Amino acid sequence: MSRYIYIGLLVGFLLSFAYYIGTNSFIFSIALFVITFMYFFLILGKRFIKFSNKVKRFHECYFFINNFIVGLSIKGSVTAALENLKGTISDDFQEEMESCEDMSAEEQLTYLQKYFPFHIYQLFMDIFLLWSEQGGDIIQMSTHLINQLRENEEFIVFAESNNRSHLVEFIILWAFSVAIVVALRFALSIFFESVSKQMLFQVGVFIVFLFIIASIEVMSRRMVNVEIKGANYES
Amino acid sequence: MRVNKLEKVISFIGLDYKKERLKILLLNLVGLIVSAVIYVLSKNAIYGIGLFGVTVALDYIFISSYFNKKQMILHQRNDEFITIINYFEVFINNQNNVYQAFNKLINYSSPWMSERIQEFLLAIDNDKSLQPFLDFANNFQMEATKNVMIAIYQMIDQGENSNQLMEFTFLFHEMSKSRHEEMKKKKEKSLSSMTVLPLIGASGIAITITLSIISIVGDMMNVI
Repeated sequence: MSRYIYIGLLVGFLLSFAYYIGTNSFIFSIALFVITFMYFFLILGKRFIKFSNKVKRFHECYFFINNFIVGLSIKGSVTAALENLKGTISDDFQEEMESCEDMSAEEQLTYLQKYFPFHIYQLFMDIFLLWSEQGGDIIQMSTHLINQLRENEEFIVFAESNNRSHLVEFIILWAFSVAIVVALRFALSIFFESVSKQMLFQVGVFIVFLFIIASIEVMSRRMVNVEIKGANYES
Repeated sequence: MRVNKLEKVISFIGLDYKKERLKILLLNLVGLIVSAVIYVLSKNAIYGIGLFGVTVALDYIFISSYFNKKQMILHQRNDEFITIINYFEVFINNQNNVYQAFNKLINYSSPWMSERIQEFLLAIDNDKSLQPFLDFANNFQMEATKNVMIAIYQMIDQGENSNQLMEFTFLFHEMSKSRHEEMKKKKEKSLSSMTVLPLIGASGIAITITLSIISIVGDMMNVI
């Protein structure tokens, strides 16, 4: 969360500073700083933390299922396949695994459904249970599951990279727009004194700056709109 | 009794038609009263007509939101069909028959989809023809749904042999591929359209500056 506090402070400072340079209005600048910071702290930060946790979990789920199936196929034992994974997993996941160490390997996999609340993990469990009951070649049994897992992973990676490139574009375009306000002070220096004292100007520019925050809200909603079936499933 | 199109759409999205009709009526009533009051107070027909125009625009936004919601639900259903058929493929390739595979899909479905699957399973219990498969496919807008369901029927009809399974897999993979492409395009489009917002902001700033300068020049002219 602290990362988003710093980002909120930075964005709040930049916006209020640009506003102050452009309008000379201290009170509106402070209001803008407070609104921006509170928005980042109370809404945006939480939204992105939730999103990044969901995506991180899915990446982990992807690697876990793939490695487990390969491990199981090579070693032929569930315990050995799980043992094989140790050292390659994240700290959070390691903690989760440690909390269920007393359980049997099969129980551990069932317990992990809480950690991986995705349909794809449930599907993996269905195949695993079938394999436990009837045996067979786990890699062959999981071919379609792995294909789907890969397709989902590819889409999430695509969405993440798309998010990054469009975010940069979005920031640059807004920076140019805000630069108009800052440039006004220097480009129209003859008018600036009179213009900056006008309430119409101060309120008008303030509304545009609030519009920036509204556009960040819309942008962020679209960025986190990556559906992973099972996680926050709504229909 | 004849049911109008709007009533059908409102019922489809799960809202109460009478309540929604009342909302639209109230919106128009308030719009008309405010327009009339503004006209009487200002003695200027343009303000009254302008406000009435705003009411009509709000009507349009309000009513079209029902249709948009309906489209969204239909789209979600198509999307869910492709997802569950993904899972169906996994089950069918792991020694489950069609009935068992569909039965297992209930755990992965939304309440709406799970109801449709249960109806379908009940129907195939009583009717061994193609009809239940077509009825199930009719719940979705995509033409490809029908082809997939026919392929599944043929799979049962011909003893779930590997040829039929391959035909289904081919059909399904085409559908899944186009869905993934569509999802990527949708994501790309939704973020690309955001570039218009900074332009709107820049226009807002330019308009504010222009109005402020005009106002100052006006004041100067008055002084002169």
